[in-house]
Amino acid sequence: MQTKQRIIILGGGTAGWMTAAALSRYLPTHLYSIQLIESAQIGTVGVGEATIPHIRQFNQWIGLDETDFMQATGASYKLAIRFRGWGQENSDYYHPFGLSGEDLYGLPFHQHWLWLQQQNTASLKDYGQYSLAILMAQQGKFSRPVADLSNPLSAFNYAYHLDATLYATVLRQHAIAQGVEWLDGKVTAVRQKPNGDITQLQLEDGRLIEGDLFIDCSGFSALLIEKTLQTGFDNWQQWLPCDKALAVPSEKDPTPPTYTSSKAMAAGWQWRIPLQHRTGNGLVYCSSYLSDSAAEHALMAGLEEQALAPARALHFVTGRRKQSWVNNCVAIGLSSGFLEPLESTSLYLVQVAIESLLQYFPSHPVGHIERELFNEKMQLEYLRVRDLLILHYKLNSRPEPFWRYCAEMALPDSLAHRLEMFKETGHLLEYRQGLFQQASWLAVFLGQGLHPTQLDARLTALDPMPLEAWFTKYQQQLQHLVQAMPEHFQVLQHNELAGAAVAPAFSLYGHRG
Amino acid sequence: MQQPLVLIGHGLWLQMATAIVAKHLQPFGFRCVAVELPAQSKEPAAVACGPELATLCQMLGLPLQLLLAKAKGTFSLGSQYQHNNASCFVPFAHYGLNAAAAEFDQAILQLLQQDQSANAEQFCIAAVAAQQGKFALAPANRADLAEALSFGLHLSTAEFTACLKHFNQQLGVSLLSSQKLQLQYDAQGLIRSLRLEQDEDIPVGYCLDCRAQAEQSGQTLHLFSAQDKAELLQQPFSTAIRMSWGYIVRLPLQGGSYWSSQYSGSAADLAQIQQELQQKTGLTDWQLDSRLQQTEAQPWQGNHLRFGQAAASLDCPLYNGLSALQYLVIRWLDLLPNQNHCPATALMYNQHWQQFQSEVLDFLLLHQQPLATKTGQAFARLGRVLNTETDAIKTGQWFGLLLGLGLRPERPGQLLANRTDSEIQRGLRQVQQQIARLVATMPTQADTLNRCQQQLSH
Repeated sequence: MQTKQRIIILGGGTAGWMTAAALSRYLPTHLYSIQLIESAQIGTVGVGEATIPHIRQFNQWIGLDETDFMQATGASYKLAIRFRGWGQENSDYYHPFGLSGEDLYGLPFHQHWLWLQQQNTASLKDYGQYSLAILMAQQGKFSRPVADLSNPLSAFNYAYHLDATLYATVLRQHAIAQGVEWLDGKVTAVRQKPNGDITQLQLEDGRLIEGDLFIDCSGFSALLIEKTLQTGFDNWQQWLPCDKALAVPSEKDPTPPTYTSSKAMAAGWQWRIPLQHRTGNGLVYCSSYLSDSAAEHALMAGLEEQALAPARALHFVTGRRKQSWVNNCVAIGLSSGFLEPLESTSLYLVQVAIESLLQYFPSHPVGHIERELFNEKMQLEYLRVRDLLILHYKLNSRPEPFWRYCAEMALPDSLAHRLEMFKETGHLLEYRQGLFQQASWLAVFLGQGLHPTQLDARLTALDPMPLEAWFTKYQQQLQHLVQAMPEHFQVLQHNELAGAAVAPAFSLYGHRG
Repeated sequence: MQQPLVLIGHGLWLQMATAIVAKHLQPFGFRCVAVELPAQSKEPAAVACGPELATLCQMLGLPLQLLLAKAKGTFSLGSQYQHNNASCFVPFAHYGLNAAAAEFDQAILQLLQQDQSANAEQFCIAAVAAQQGKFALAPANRADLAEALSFGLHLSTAEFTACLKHFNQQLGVSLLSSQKLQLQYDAQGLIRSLRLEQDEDIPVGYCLDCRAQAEQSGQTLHLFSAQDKAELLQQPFSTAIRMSWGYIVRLPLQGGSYWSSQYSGSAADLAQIQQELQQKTGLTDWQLDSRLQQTEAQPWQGNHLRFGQAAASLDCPLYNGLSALQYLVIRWLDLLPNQNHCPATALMYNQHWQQFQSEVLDFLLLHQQPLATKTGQAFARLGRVLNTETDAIKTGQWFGLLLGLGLRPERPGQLLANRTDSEIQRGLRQVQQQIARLVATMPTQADTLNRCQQQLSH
């Protein structure tokens, strides 16, 4: 009889239960046993969570119905992130889950937009006004995208604002129903083979939990990957200097917006995540430039609704483990690394790790090939998200000392080259692997006031008049489409959406992306 | 940009680059000048173009039917590899009928693990059609079939070049020729002008250099080539035969075939190789040419774009440098700068090229030492084809070659682990039957070529 491969997941936050739900969906119970160890004594980070559209695919993957999921997690729909005060104190732009405009004459839309701007075209609107997702977000409208690429409604995507604690509960029920064994216990010792492989976890009550593959979802404590295996950590604080956060829930917004708010503050930024039953708020800040008490005062003063609880404090170090998979231990979630939630990437990075783990799933004993492939994939994902986050801080002309530091800091080469290239030509070279593509980079570049010194050489041959007319007509078409859509709060109240749900696109920007 | 774009080089590569650049930029009023220089080495008599050619022809407005008719063209659904007594088909297209079907390749691997006599090619419409000598252009409303039947062309180089030259003349490109060339630089190290014979100077904005020959010393490559008159219209594919030193590649054309093989070792072995070539093919008239090959990792330097040298660094019978050249030109046009000094853009472009180059080199190395590559190791362990950053090599090519080389994963993917064997086999059988039905209704390549000829004459 074949022995079952024993998988032990340590930690029961969102990362742990997402992992358990996905593994139990794909790994048959006659070949694998999955146990999740969670301690009631150890809390989870579990604040309101803003996501990106990939979460829809994850839910579909594990068989979660969208309507059930929305009800159970108090979720609202999300189309964009609104950035206020980033770049300049009075700036206000959106990073949408969607494309802006369409290519014309074989040239990217933004090149035409920049060129018309250079021509002082009177009717030209802000770049974001050519994005369906942004118009919907600004007008509080919501509708599902479509898959038909000839339809303009295929040029956007959507995600959710959700309650991470409730989401973990839904996932737990799901995973347990699929055969995952849930153990309440606190790990007090970790036993290893001479080669470093983990063999057993000893719990506080004396139980010994044996396993073949250990998945460390223990959060910041990184009990297995760091405290036991001493993997090492790449610290990225020189580029992302914020190191503390405060989180506080407030009353619900009766007309919740379809965007996450990110407002730059004197030494960090404040988030606002509207759910159906409450609003998540928080302040990410740099303790070298702002005291804890001043941070709390700033957060509370910036709330739009009544606070429902005292603020909770978090301390973090931005960066990632040098390796996410070492020996027979795979780190997923905060144990693997931390990037502040400025672009709502936390659950995405968990999701990518789970998908990659399943794709390269090891036999027993674990081979070096699967480890290398997994580690390379995760490194690439983290680095590419990191660079976009750094860009938000770098591009600014704010006067505060914190922002002056950020504006003057040296950049990692990968970002410095990208930035210089955009300045030179207004072009971006796309990569295939990694989350953020051109539309995201452009949203931040243009939203934070970076304009190229030169544009594509072809533009000088164009006549601006017909181009201007095209822009006007295109924008009006988008406005008409948005006006016909239902209000977001009504969609949530009636818990229904016109049209059948289509298969989620595995792109931030929808099926056209 | 006020200064013209000047293309220099010879033959097919020069004409192809000129056609792409001129067609793209003419609507924007750019001045393009092509300067034909003396050939540095003999061009192969035939060329195998990948699936990107069909897209390119559409962009250029150059009918495929015309190329097929003028350049003795045939279709190519991929390559038939012959290793000792075994053979395998490496298609351009994916396996299965839906490119996005998750884990279809893994299902095939699972079947092969259970039944070693099973043949993966029955799940690839391109392979099945190729084996039966069938070929059809997918209807315009069947993007899925077009993808599953991705095809390239085999074309006679001289006639293909003539077609492109005629096309460029019709576009109004200034086509010059010169026996000599001197690059004139300014104080910043940028090319200011080109001096041709009779001291004629041409001002330069960007110089798109399509010359293949390494300027400095490089590795010496020996290229054997031969032609026969056997018409192989029942073979819409090329053939690659494994030999002790590398591969012999046969490209079927209308009215004959072109054979080639490359050797990079000692010149002392050439006579022995020639003898083996004769024995293997029965052809006695093998020609031998040599050229220098040098790696080019930085094709964009200042306003000098060394596209030819970069493409030539990959060119061999198993991979046509023309595909690389097309890629280099198109990617550069995507970024067309308004000034001739943009170092960050050049750096990013060169990095991107290095990625393309490394994927092609990995594919080529796979032929010789599969387990020396990460791709081969990943497949041998997990049955996974690694994600790529470019389309230099198509997914079907990677999977087909890895299977064809005899690699089988130690550890099949677990994403299908909760499916029973019979569920998987039933799914595969459905796809196989659908493929068989589709291929049964397809015309032969000869019929399709005739139809193309008729469309052209109408």
